[in-house]
Amino acid sequence: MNNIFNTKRFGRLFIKQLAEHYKTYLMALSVLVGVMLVGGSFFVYLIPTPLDISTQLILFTGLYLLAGTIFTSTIFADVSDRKKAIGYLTLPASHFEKFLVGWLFSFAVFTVVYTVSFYCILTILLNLKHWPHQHTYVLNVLVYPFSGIFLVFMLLHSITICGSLFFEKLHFIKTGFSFFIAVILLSLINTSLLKALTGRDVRTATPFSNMSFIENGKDYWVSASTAFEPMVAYIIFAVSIVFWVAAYYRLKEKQV
Amino acid sequence: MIEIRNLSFGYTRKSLLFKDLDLQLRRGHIYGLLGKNGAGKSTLLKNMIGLAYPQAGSCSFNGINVSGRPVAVLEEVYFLAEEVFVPSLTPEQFAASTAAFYPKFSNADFYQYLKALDVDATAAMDKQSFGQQKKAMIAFGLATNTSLLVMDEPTNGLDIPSKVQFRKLIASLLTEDRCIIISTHQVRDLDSLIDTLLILHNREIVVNHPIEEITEKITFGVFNDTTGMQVLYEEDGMRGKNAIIKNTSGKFSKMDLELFFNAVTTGNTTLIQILKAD
Repeated sequence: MNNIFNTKRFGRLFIKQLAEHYKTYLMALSVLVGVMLVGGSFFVYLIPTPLDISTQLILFTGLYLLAGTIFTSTIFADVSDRKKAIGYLTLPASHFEKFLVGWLFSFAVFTVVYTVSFYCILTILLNLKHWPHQHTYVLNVLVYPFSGIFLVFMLLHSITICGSLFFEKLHFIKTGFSFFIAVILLSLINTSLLKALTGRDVRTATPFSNMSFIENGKDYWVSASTAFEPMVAYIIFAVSIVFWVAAYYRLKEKQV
Repeated sequence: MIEIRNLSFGYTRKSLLFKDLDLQLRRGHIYGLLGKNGAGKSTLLKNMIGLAYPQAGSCSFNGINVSGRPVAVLEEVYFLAEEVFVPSLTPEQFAASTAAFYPKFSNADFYQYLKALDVDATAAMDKQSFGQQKKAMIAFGLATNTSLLVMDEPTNGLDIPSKVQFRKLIASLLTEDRCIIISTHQVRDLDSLIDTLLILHNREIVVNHPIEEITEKITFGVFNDTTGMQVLYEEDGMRGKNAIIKNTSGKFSKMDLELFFNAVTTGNTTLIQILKAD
């Protein structure tokens, strides 16, 4: 077990990661906060009403997924740089501990820091202007259905962390490119399967999404019952685990 | 300590750098690994410490296979690469965040080596020259007190006084429990430092002999005329002919590493046969 996980060693590795990268992380955080503040102020002065829940959700989701995947794509960048990789791979800590530190920083720590920053900025933005006789609402991302965004990030995170270890350069761009190619291919396969199953000329549909087709001049829209939502969540969770495991083994196999 | 068995490695399956290579390295020795450019010195070192995985065969450290980089191996091995990377920290900050991973790390030794190599412990390493960065990492590597110390071109980028200090430090560090492997192109930097010579040539280790044993079997010298001598290899030099001859007198001469390396890598089979003969 000592060769796989040791709490003391893991703690040291976590601190080492922080000590060596905190300047970069702080700079990235200040850019993120700047984007939130400037972009949010623009919205506040443009829209005559307080930011509603859906606008808040769009802002939270868009920035969360974009910033999160960009950050995740850099978390194992050292492994692709020969000079840095030697020191990193020969450091006496297990691959599991190294992977876990990268995972924690890019998933858990990032999510907490991002969410806290978002709500701090949102509080400032909602108090920037006085809206008489209008009630302001604050999005609660921790409750259903909004919490589903964390599940989406989980999937994107697992794909991005995999890409950060599989590709040697331009991790974010190459992962994004591969992701969209995969989505197109899966959608084409899914659409063909739906056509074969239903015998109808269905429109292009991504896996686990709704199905739509025209019959007798009428537009039909078929969606799965909400009872299936937990199953979709389990599938996303399972797929994320598969990508995380693949990324871990890729780190283990890494050579210089 | 290090046991390599039937090791085959290549960056592509078609062209192998090593094929069925066998090598054993023992504690209490300073090995000098020499080879031409592209012979695979760095790759061999990387195989030894698990930075590269062999296509066939194995490499073990104290009986543990190094492939997969187990922590038990990494704690006892320090690898100093030719091109070092330093984080944006001072040497003392770096030691504070990294030293704890090495069970035998000595802070006192670290500061002593930094002083000997003239490195400021409080200056950010990434703002220093390449030579200073390398010296800081050398000091750290030596202070880890790992039983295996592997160094790839350690003197590249070092000024002359630093090279002298480096040689002194290495010479003082060797204990019965420690094994040091130094790979270099600059054979003069290894003069009087190594006790065993390894030469990697044509995908195999063609020489693996203690210096003492080599000088017992062959003699190095500068001669005006080598006619009538049992010359194994000679080169024209400024003061005459630099030659290697069979040692029939039983006297020891100072080994000319460069001449010996040239003799071996030009395919001098007689020389190798003499060395291999008991």
